[in-house]
Amino acid sequence: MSPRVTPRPVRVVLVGVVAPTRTALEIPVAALVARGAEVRALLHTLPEARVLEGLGLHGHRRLVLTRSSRAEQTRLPVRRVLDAVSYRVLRLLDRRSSTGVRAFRAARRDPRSRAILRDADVLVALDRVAVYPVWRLARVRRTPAFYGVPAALRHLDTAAPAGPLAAGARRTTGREAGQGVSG
Amino acid sequence: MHADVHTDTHTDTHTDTHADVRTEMSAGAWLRAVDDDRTRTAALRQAPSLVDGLRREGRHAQALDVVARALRQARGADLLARLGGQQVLLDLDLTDTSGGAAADAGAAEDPDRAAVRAAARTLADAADRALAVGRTAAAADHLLQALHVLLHRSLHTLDAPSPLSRKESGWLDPVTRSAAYTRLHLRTPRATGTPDARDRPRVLLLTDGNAHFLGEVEKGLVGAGASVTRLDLSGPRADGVVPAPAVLARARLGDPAARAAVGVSAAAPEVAALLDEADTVVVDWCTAAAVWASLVVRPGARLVVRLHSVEAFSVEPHLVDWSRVDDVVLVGGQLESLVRHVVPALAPARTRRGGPRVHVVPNPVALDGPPPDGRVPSAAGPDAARTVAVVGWAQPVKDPLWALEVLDELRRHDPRWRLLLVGADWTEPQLPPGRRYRAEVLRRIAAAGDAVVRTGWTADLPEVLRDAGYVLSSSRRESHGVAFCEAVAAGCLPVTRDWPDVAEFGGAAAVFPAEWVVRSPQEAAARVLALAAEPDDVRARTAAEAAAVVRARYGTTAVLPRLLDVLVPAARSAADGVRPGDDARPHLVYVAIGFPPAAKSSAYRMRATANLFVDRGWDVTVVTIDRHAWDLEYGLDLSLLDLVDPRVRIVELPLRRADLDPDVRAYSWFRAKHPTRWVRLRHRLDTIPFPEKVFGPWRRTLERGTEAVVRDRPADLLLVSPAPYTTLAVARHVRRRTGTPYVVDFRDGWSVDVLGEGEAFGPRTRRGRWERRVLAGAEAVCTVNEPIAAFYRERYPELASRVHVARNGFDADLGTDLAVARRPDPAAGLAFGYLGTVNLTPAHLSLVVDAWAAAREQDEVLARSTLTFRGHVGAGWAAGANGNAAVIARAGVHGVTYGGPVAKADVAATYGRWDALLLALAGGRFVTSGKVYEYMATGLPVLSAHEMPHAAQDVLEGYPLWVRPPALTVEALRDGFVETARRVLSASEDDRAAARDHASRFERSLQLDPVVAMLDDRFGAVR
Repeated sequence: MSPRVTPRPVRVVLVGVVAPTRTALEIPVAALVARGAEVRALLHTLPEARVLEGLGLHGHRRLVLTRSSRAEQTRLPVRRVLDAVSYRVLRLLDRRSSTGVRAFRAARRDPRSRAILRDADVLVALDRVAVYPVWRLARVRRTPAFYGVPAALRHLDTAAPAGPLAAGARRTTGREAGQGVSG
Repeated sequence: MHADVHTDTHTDTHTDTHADVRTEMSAGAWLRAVDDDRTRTAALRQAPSLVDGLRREGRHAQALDVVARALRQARGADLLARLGGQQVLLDLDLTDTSGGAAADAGAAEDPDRAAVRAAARTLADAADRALAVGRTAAAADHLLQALHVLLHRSLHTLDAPSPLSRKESGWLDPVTRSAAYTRLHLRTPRATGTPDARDRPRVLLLTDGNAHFLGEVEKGLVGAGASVTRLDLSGPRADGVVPAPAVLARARLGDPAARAAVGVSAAAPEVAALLDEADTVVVDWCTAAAVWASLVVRPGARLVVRLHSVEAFSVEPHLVDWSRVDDVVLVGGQLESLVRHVVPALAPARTRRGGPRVHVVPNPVALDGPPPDGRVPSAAGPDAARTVAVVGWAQPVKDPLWALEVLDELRRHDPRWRLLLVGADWTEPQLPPGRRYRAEVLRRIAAAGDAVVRTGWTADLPEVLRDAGYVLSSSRRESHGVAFCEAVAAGCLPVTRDWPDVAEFGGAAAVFPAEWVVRSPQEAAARVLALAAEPDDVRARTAAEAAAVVRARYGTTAVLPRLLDVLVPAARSAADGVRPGDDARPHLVYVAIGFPPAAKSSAYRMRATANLFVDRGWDVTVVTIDRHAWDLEYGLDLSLLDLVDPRVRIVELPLRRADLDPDVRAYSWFRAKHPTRWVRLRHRLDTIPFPEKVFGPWRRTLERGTEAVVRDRPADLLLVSPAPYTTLAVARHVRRRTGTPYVVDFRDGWSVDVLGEGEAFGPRTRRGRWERRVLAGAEAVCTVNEPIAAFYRERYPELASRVHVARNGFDADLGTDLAVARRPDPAAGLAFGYLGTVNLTPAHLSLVVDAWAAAREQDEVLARSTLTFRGHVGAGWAAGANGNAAVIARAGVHGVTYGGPVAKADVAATYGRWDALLLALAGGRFVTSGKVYEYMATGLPVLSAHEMPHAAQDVLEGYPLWVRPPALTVEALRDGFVETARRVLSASEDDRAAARDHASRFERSLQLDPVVAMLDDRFGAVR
């Protein structure tokens, strides 16, 4: 056959604050995968390892406050001091914050979570507490965001597939760029 | 006789949607234009038309270059979808599915069927998007291209198995499940016209070039006194009248310009008079002619379409407006199964109420003259005893390679065996895959040397077949094979392959005796050799019997009367015509939130109620909410609409539950940050218009919408079916504004707490006052069981005489028999099942699961057994993710599983996999539940796991395979599981039959009909 430009798979990110059960994930994730989606999970409370095994997830990440906000440690002492200070401040703030807010802060600070969210085409809140972090994260890049996997499945069934240029073609205005997730 | 009887009319018609842009621009010029920034946009826009043109001209390599380049440069989902579809079509044109050597540079590998489906899905999505914004022409183009992709001939007509040949393949789902396709086959009320009373019916026979099977039909019609005109729409008289398929598809989707073009075509002088005069229009082969006829045949004239086998694999049946077709003729039982499986508009569930009547009438075969007197092959020709004939062989669908394999097998035993190929020689196919297949066949024929004899086309088949003792049908699919039947009638001994493309749908055994049918070349050779080993007289007797079978089943004298009964029925019953005085029919307005296509259990009761009223001569208008609102709860099941009488009018009001909105981006900060507080506040506000949370705000829209329906056409009766209870306010409102009497189908009641077994609210509360007010004005109140009825008679003594019981029941008319045929296998363990919404409390479910685990420890058969839950667990965002789901997940180690919801069509198959059923119900004496009726209809042992007393007991009393533990405790239920396993293993056929007999009285319409009859008597008198 001739070379074909294949659309890249849709990337779905599941966000959960309460530890999900296997039953809650098994059929929904299988349905997403069956539609050709790449599914990743950001979970504030990690369930037992066997819950996530063999689900077909492309990866998962725990949403906890990381010490560093950069993918690689910078050598600049100023940067390292700022990171340490901001970590301590956020720890203090977290004590007085709800779980949803803590999950959002963790997602915003963690470079690997940020990378996952940057590529996301669809965000899904798995539980009621996860609605808040998803709501905040969805505002950043105007990513479609849903409460529950069924709505995300309907979205995938009705929306156009992610084209090869879908992510790249997304226009970034100055205002949106200012809202970009940063450390 | 004609040896080349089956001309493959499968045409891969290209859409010609940009006829203005031809291929004057060469591929080279286009490539230069696309490199230039100034002309790139225009060039990209022209790319699809250019590719279509190049493909039509067979310049596939250039077309592929253009498509690949355009795909790299193009933006816009529509253009990408269209180009992607074209790329797949070009690949399929060039791809060899027969595994032959690649002869063309462009073809290197088999088509990736997943890529084909993905392209079709992308096109169907594009069609839906276009439709959503009113671009019907673009939607039709995308849909048509998607169908062409999925039904490309190289996927279905070469010697690889067609994806449609497997029932479970869901090959066409990407298209048939799209909104555009659904729109194409929406059932719309058909225009009526008065049939003219004529002594001599005038029949117009329409063909699209292939009139091969019409000779006998025409003779028969003339013999029956009909005035017959034949019109070949691709012949010189009317060539060019029928618009291109793309125009027909656009017209079917309602595009005004295309409709006008079709109208002009029907007014063309060549056809206008013929269409106007005909009482009956018969279209042979479901080609573009059938699509066109379904658009232009005048109201009042009958339209009959006859399908053969190739159409099941073609696009046109998906474009025909089947609601305009009166009768469909299929030429074999196996083809009926296939076509009705492949074309959703002809599915049995869809045509059961409304739609065309479907008949199976074989092609009549002219077998005049005396039957053969058992001629002995060896006496007929010198080599006949070792000659196998294949009649009409030169097409991929006839699969001559398979016949050559049979010859190889025979020659392994005796090199004197020959293959006689009768029929026209193979013309050079247009596309490379067909050319390669032909080349392979010719190579094998040449290699066989004298063992293969080609006779060419002959007008005298019996004479040619004097040289053959056996006839072989090697086709991939057949109706019954007219030429094959002629050969059998001429005295050849029959051997027929179990045609693989229709094997799952009945195959050859559906039309011929089983001993004729073989599944492999080895089996075929074995049958031929076994027959050859018989004495001459036995062979002669077998041949005579085979000929008699063919004459009895397919001879003109046997078949033609049946066909004429369909084409020109002696007298149409008055009931089929226009009913006089439609306005005189009583009118029911039925407020039924949850009416199909909502995938809710209440949908079955509602559709049965509406259908029963229609059956009694009422016009029914159902008022419900926007169907897409159900996506937010348990979802939609569009197939439920097929069970609704097409005469029922459905009005959908723009309402949906705001609290279930899953679009997080639309949430306010307060809702996102404090979801629980938001819900609490929202519920308080909801009760301001009407004292019911969530649904209270719907009151005004429901009242106004229903009132508008009644004002549009006055109603003789208003029927409301809460929940939601806000519909009670509608009943009162409409009564006050229009004076329409109303009835409340109260089902589970409101003030009765069906789970807590007391009253849900007192009579002096706001809800209590509303209930009293509305029920006081009701003509009748229906509940689902006697305890609820007794509650209301006691609460409102003045209403006692108006309270009736209309039980639920199982639906016998869903098209499936629920009776389970499976027999238990104690060695493998038993399968216990639960089917229905798992709406127990987690504590109740935990108790059931604990009892199951304890029973597995106690009983060795149960230790090997499984307990499966099917149905919804949680709704909306929590679908499959609530507390009950966690309980089931934890019990996985004890053989407990959850299998997800079950579609209506799979209910019978799901029960069929189980040995016993678990009836776990919430509530007590007020809760009957719908599943108890369905459970009983299976005839399986049923274990009760609910409180006692319980309303389900009244229904189960007398069910011979009912296991009733004395209490709802772990120990009692554990013993119940053990006892159920014992009953499973000991139940006899008689026990199961007695169980089903007990259930039969609970069929739903039997339960509802007395109440509907009572209402019909009181309110159904013609005004």
